[in-house]
Amino acid sequence: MKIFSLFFTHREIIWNLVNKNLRAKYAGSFLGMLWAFINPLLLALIISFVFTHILRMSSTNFYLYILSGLLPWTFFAGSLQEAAMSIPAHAAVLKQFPLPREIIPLSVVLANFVIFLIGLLAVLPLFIMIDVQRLMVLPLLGVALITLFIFTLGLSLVLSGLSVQWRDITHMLNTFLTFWLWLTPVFYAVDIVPAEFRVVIDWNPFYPFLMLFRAALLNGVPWDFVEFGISIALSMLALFTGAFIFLNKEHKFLQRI
Amino acid sequence: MTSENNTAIELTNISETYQLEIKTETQIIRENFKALQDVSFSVHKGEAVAIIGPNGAGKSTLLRILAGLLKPEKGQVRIHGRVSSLLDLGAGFHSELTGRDNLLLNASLYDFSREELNSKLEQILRFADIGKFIDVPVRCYSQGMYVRLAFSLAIHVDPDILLIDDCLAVGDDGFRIKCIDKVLEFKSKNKTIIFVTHDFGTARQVCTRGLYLRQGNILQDGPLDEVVQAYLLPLDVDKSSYKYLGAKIVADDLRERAAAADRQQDEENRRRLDQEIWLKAQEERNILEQTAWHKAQAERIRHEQAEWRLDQEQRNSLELQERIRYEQDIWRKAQESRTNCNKARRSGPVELLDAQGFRVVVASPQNLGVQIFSSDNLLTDDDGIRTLFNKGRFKDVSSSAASWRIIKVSKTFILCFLRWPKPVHVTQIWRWVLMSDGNIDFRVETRSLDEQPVDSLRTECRLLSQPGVMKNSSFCGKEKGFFMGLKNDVLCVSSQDNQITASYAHTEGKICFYFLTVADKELLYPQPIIKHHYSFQVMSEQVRDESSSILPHHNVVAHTLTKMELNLHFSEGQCCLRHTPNVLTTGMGLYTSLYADGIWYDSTQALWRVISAGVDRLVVVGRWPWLPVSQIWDIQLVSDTKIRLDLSMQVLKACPLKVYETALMLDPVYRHWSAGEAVHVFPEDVTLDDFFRICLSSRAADGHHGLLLRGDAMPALAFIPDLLPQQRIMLENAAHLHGAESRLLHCSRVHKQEESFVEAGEYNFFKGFINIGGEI
Repeated sequence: MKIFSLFFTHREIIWNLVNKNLRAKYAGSFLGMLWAFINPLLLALIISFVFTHILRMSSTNFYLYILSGLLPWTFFAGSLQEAAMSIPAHAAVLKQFPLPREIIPLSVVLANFVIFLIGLLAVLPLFIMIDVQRLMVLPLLGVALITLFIFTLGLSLVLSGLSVQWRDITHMLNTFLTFWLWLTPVFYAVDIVPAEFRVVIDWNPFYPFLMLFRAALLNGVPWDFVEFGISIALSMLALFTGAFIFLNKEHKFLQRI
Repeated sequence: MTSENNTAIELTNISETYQLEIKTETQIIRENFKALQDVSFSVHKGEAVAIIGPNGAGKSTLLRILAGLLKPEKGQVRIHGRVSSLLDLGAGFHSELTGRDNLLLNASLYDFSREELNSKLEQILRFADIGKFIDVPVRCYSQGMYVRLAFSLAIHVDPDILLIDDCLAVGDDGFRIKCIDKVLEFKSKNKTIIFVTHDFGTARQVCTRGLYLRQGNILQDGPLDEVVQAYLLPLDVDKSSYKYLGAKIVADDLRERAAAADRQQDEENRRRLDQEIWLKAQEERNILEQTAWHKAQAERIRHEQAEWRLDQEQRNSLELQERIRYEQDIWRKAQESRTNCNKARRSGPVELLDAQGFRVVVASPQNLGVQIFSSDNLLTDDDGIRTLFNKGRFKDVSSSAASWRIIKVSKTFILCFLRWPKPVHVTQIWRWVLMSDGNIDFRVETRSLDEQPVDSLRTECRLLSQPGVMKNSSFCGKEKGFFMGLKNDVLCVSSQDNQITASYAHTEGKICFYFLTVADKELLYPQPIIKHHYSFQVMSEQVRDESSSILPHHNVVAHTLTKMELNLHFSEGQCCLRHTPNVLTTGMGLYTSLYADGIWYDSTQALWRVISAGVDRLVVVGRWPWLPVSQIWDIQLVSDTKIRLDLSMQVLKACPLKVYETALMLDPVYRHWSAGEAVHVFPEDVTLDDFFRICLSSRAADGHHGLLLRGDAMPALAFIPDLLPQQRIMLENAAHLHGAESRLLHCSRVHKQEESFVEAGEYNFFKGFINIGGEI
């Protein structure tokens, strides 16, 4: 819990780091922040085209189905990739200022989260157009966002903590995330998965979060509480593991970067 | 708590270790690197401290600990006040953002609150002085502009303690002066400054105190000028010498290989090696040039220092004395830290040379000495072989006080490098070579690193053997070579270039035997470089007798005076007295001796030169090689029965002389003696080994101050000194001293402890007569 009080006392620094991260990311580009949702929209469009017209798998609102999974996944995978490299990337800052190191991965995840939120807000009207009733379950979307944020932050702490010592992690991560993406029903429906492979999806830790988003955005129904409980448990587990590993490793950071 | 109020920084016993991975082709070795070892110091509020030292000394690690970036492995850090560090300028700046954005977004890192920044923004921009570039992305900045902006931001934090890591050197001169002004402004506000730098000019402007860090240890802590000198002078010169030696060794190896290649008619190989040799020679020359440059630098600094000192002297001589005391203090501290360093390097193995059981063991890290073994028997005592020299006010500086480095070791070769840090400032190179004939060759080369030369040098080989073992070896003479008794064997020490002499000393209740080196006559001290060269050999007693002639001989300074039957033969500081057909003296005959620092220095060890020599008169001058003393002997045969002696002593430099005496070793036949009316007989039952001594006090007042000796079938002999104050005559049985049985007549003068220091000047040493067959 010390970690949260640290976040609070350094809120200004964190906010400046996030701000700097975002500005730096879109500095010099003409469309700027717009890329935050142009990218997932285009990607979802291309993939739904491939799946419905070339592979001839069709279902209703397939485009929105993909979009509802792709947005949280982009946030999740993007944060992990950036966080894994965050400590060496901020070496100059860490060498100069006696900051708590946790705020580095935190600022990275926060910056990605802001982009994710902007993208989500931009596409939200598409979901509401299908059924205005969906507005009723939108508060639950907030809960989904918070649990996913905590889960991502936890894993980011793990990766940034370990990757300082084992640089191999950053190289491995890209392939691993692609593999993980295809094991997660983002582009396909769960029911087309053969029964013997269902177990892979059941044990996929990202699947509960995906289900929360789908339930809120696409199906417009309150999810069942088992899924809800699992996702909270997972996010808490990730956070505590991450904090534990990170705090154990951080005193040696300066010698390694 | 007053201490809390005055102290800004307090470090106690800080240690920090890094783990290094050394990657070789086949494996990865993990090794711990000690960046800081047990570092403690404290800094007062308002003090400005410069930390200097070579790269990798641990300076940056220390700063990081002070900045709170690193938690030290061991030790305690106490810091009172807000710290701002200029370690890595422009940290956190993003190249895509404009200067203004970077200021705004990074201010919080520098502990600026938003309001504080807004109020100071104008000031920061004015100080940075980069004009419209403030709204241009930082990637378009020149290096100078970047640093200006970053420095400007960092310096406007209002800290209590400012840490600076060598970053004032950047930017143009105008900006640098501005930066230094700003730092000085900090100082005037009674803020604490820690400054790591290699720019001693800037450091002098800012700081008064210096910390010299090396290999994770604080070597010196004191006024900046002293510390900078301690850092600059020895290190550069030494480093080059090390490099030079290294290059030389490589070159030697290459030459050997080239010779081998030549034998094999391997033309191509040969050409390649020739080229390599040429390159190495080039390198050697470069390094020599570099050394010369460093020396010139050192010379310049020294020159400046001398000027400064002269100035100071005129103003206040008291301060100079303070300085000398301080220098001695530094020397003591350097000694201590050297001991610590040596302790730290204790893990190294003992090096040795081996030739059929005869070994030289250089045990440098353990007990700082060289020991000689013969078939596992240790021949030398704890001190082993060592060198001692005098330089200026440093007396008897021993090789065990130097810091040692073993530079090269092979089965037949050991090369050691010894260094005495400032203010002694001397280096020695010891080279041991096992020759093909089983001898061990030993060369010592001594070099003073400043303008003050080494005054005198001697090499000592202290042996464990007891006096009885040395039965037939006369060890008071002066030879090109020397034998020393051992249990079964004889250790033979000879010198190609120098004369050596053996002597004995009482130290801590123990009698030690050792040899000393006498420089050749042309090479009197002081000289800039002193070279000694020895050869060690062990042989059995028999072989030794046969091979005495193997030792090289030197030209003997000798002269004979004759008048009728009376005959006096002078040879290398000893006189043999003859009254045909009798030889009156034995052993060393007439000689003089000086006692200083627990060692007897006999006239036989001195270097002699004839000034004038006639039929009945001889004037010789002798110079003691390791004492600043010379003597002039004026010997005259007044008649065929009377010898006049006029001995004077010249002390060239104040030195401690406890006893000086003139001695006459007479044949043991002389058993009756009389002083005035009293007649005594030398006791019958005195054996050779007994110690027997009779003191005769001065009786000048009675008119009887001489001594008359008689012996069967010998002419009577009267010894009549003109007694000087404090002189007295003694008679003793000298068998225990010099092997030969004799009556030893001393006329000696013993100083009391507190007045044993003899000032420079001329002194009467001895005046008197020896009457043969006559009266007093």
